[in-house]
Amino acid sequence: MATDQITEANSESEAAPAQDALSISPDNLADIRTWLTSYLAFLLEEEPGSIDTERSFDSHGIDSAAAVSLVGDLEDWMGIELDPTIVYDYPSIDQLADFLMTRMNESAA
Amino acid sequence: MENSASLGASVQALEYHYNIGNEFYELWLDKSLSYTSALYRSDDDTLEQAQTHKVDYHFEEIHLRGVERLLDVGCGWGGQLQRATTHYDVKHAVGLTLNEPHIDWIGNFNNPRIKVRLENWRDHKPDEPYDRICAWGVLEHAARPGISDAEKQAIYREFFELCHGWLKPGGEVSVQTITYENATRADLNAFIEQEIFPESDLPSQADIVRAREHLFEITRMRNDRTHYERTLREWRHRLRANAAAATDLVGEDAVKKYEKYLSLFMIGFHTATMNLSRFAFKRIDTPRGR
Repeated sequence: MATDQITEANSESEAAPAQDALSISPDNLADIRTWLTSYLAFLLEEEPGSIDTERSFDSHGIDSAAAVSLVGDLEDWMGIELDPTIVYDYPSIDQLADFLMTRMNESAA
Repeated sequence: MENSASLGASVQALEYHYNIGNEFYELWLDKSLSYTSALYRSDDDTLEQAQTHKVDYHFEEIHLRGVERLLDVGCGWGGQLQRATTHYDVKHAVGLTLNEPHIDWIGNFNNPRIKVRLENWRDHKPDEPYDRICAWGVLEHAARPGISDAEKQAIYREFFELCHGWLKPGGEVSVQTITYENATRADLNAFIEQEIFPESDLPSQADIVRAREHLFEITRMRNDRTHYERTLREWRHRLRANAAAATDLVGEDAVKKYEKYLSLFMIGFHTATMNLSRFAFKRIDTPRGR
């Protein structure tokens, strides 16, 4: 397990990541990328525009506990079951968004 | 040095995890309530099949068939005790556990070949020596976080010394444990340590290899972290599928806590932070230096 970081505390706060900003639907790749960027920006207390979508989640400070929270929130948003390990197999916003779009297309097929 | 019993997880710490009740575990474990990694032989294996494969793998590695006496340290809900007597013709199978719900469950087998004791392995005094010993999911709880490396090593050494003393000449031991892989003791997740398995630290593979020197030869070892990841995925899926019933039994917070722990362990095995190590040992009957 990775050592706990401040991101875990943020990710479990009562104010779930920016629900207002994330009230979009997972209909297309751009929206999924926007959701992930907004989520990370909330956790890191940064502006969405400053989030590098090619950078690894690990280098953003996302530890295993934060990854579990992220995937749980993604499941709630997308309405599909996901492995918590996807954050490690698709370790940047761009890669994860591509994977999630594929999963959405598969579940809709 | 402190008494080694105080350097491992306490009865209270283990009760914290296991005394949540049999009914809760029945909702998401396999029918035998095997609470350690399964062993998958094919992509099509169900959890039930893979848990049976795990038991059979270990029993075959230690040549269990037809022996007189088996000791199962940390026997859990006793599925392997039952299988040892029904499928391997073991005459006397003795289980040790620290948790009352396990005793109640095993009592319902009404199997006269099985005896189960509410007892720490450090306190065990066998009536007669054993032919075989298995200990699956035990060494994870043997040492506490915060003790020195030397104290930790002494605990594992004590385990193998006791096994050696309990066994007949030529006896064999099967061990399955989670081990540190690409991680250090400092990496242990605080949530796991505080909320799931209090007072428990993991061994490394090197700890185990060192601890059995001149007592047991290693006859087989394999690492199966992907099997544990798949086991955890299945447990997590089943817990979610039975979330309403689980919440009725133990409350929403406990269900969320377990779901989080299963997810964290999946990541731990997936990323090789931890491994799942399976060992078979054969007793060295004339240890040097004794």
